[in-house]
Amino acid sequence: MVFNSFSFLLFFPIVVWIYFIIPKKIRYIWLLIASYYFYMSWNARYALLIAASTLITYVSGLLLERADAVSEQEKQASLKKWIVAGSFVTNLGILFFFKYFDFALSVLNRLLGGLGIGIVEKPFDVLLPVGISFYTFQALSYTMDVYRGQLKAEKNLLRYALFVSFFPQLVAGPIERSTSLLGQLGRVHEIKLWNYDRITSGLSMMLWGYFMKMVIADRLAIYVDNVFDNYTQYGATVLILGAVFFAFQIYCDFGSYSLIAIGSAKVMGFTLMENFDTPYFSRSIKEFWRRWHISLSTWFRDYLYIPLGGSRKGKIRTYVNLMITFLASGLWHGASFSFVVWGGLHGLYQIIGSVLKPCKRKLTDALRVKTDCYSYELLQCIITFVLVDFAWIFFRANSLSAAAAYLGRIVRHADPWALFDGSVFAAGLSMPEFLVAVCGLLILLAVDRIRCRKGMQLDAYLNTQSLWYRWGVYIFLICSILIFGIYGTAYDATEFIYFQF
Amino acid sequence: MQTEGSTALKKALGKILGFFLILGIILTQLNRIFSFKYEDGIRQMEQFYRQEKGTVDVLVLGSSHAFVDIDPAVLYERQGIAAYDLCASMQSTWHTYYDLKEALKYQKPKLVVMDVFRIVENFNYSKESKLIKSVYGMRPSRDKLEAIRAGLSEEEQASAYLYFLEFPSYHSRYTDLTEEDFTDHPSKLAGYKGYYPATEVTELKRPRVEDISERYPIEEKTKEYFIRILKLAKENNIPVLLINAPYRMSEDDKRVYNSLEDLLEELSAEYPTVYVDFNRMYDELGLDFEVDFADEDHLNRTGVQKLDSYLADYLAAHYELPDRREDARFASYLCNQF
Repeated sequence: MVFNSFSFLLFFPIVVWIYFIIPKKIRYIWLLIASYYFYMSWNARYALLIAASTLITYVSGLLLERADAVSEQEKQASLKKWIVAGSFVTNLGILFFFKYFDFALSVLNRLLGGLGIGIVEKPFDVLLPVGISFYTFQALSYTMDVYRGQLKAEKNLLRYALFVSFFPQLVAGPIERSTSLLGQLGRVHEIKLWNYDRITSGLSMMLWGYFMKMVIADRLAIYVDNVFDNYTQYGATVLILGAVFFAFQIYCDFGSYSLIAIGSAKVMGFTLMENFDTPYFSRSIKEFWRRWHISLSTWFRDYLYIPLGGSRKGKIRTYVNLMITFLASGLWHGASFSFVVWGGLHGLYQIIGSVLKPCKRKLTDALRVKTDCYSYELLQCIITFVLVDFAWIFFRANSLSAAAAYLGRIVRHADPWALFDGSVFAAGLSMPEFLVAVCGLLILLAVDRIRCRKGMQLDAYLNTQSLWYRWGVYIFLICSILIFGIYGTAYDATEFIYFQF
Repeated sequence: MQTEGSTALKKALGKILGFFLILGIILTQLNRIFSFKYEDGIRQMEQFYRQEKGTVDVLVLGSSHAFVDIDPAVLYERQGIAAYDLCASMQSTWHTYYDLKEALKYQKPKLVVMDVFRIVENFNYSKESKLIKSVYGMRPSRDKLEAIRAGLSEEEQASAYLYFLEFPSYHSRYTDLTEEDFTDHPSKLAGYKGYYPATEVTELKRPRVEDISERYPIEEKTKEYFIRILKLAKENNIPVLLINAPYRMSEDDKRVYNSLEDLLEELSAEYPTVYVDFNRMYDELGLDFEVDFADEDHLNRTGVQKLDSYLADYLAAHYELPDRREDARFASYLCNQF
């Protein structure tokens, strides 16, 4: 059940309505039932995996707390490490098996092939369970937080199961921290449900999320899919446009999911962490990672980069830690070398940025470049976007070689006239559709600009405006989604134009 | 405290109500603008609802063979017969069945005239455009949902609700909108009786299929709904006249019609039905294949005049249909628009 499905439009109001009317004490049980139903609507068997992950981390939490009773410090520390290792190995083992088994096998075969040894046959097909990377990381954060003493182990298994499976953020984040969400779930009976401002605020976040997804992301996807799948047919102009559109497609797609998740949780009285904070207004790659998929990048920072030593052990070690973190982040996004290269590029950008920082400073001083002005900020944003978008090509291309060929065509097939001869409208979106996409992007940039400038989300900004303006925006968004959203039956207009009797 | 709380709640409810009222008005208008305005299916049903109760004596069912070839104005002028063409392009029998079922909720016709052309249907689901044209004119009801389901294949059943909501099918028409979409209003067409004229003249060769005696079977689903139509009419004490309007009949079609005749004979005890095949009566009707056809499937205005004059006389002679020419309630038949 995805958020932009008719099923969810029925599911969500029903869940919220029942949640509002049932006794306070069983609210979390109802949400657990709803969450498992939500997850099982993809495949009922997946529930076993999430239940297994829940049980392992739940028990590890209890064991970690019990280990505190061991009086001998050394023994206690060693025991706790073993428990954490057990939880990580089993959870990451499940994740590895379902997500990376095929990839690992193909790598193994490539290595064996290079050595002239026979190919290992694939013994079975592995289907990737929806959201496994998200909930596994969320569950592991709990183990770590209990280990670090930041949180007491949760005794109530059902409440803990809800923490792992909470339906708004279950399949695509934000990856919540146990210190935040588990606490809120523990106080669910205290939530004052009827709060007009909170509910309308949550709904308007959802509405903006649906606009980003259905009007912008899904429309750009038509162009992007066509361009990336048939890149050999296009020149540089369309290919660059395809890459730029992909940057916004993935932002709107991913960002919208987070917004709908945060909004729907807000309607029910929960606060989820922010996941995307106007990432394309970043002025450096480092800043980009503070604004892009925040819940994942902070997860990697807290549970991988810092335990590796972070930036505390010298420059070289810092760079190595950065590369490890970003390569792991790349691999987390998908089981292929394209994602590893994408992650590696971001690691490399940051290392080069750090190495060149003194040179950059000297250069700007020598050339007396004015740095405290809008034009300089804009230039930084554009350069950052270009670097990010360059890496996105590897993320989106069907393979590493396809990404290289895509970039090769951009270099070798310059065709600026494509902007004027209508070629850009012949790559998946007709002119009116293209214009809708561009208008959607302008609206997105305007909303992000407001957010960047005023530091508030659309819902908070609207609350500062008068009623007619608020309602105007809501009605505009609803009508835009209904008219310009990509949904419904893909009817073939030509079939209708022909007046067939 | 409690008063403050209830005032806030009342205020909030007032706001919610106001918001949804404005939104509802806007969405209704958007729906009117974006909706399909096809005149070969949807409009027939939409306008049927606008007919005054008790003003449809003859309900004409079927595909375009019926709504292009049967002009209620000719029937009315010649014999005072009040007929309405409730049809849709290439309409399958399952949708004809639901058209009849829907029509009986609003009118009590004295006769059903059904063109049998779509008995040759060789699929057991409808193409999307045909489904839409047959169903989108219907008001929301359980029957409408059933009609949608009947037209969808097994794999498409899950998307039945999208067709029921309709808007998901036409929301992306923003690239096709014309002035008509903004100005078109059903009330403009008070005298509309479902007829759609074909005005071209196409010279055709007269089909020679009378010697074909082979049989091709009627598809099971088509047969099932055909029988359901007969049953529904019988339950409502409405006689059914089956017709086969003139067209350039193919040999394969003829083979299916042979099976239809067998079926009618088989059903004759339970559902005594009259079947008039006008394709055997070209000379009797005076049809000239050089001037009376608009295309291979439809008569033009001169052809319609010949067929409908004959049909009007036939209906007047064989059925007890009142002459409505002097009745003011039927005045709209005089301004029959299309």
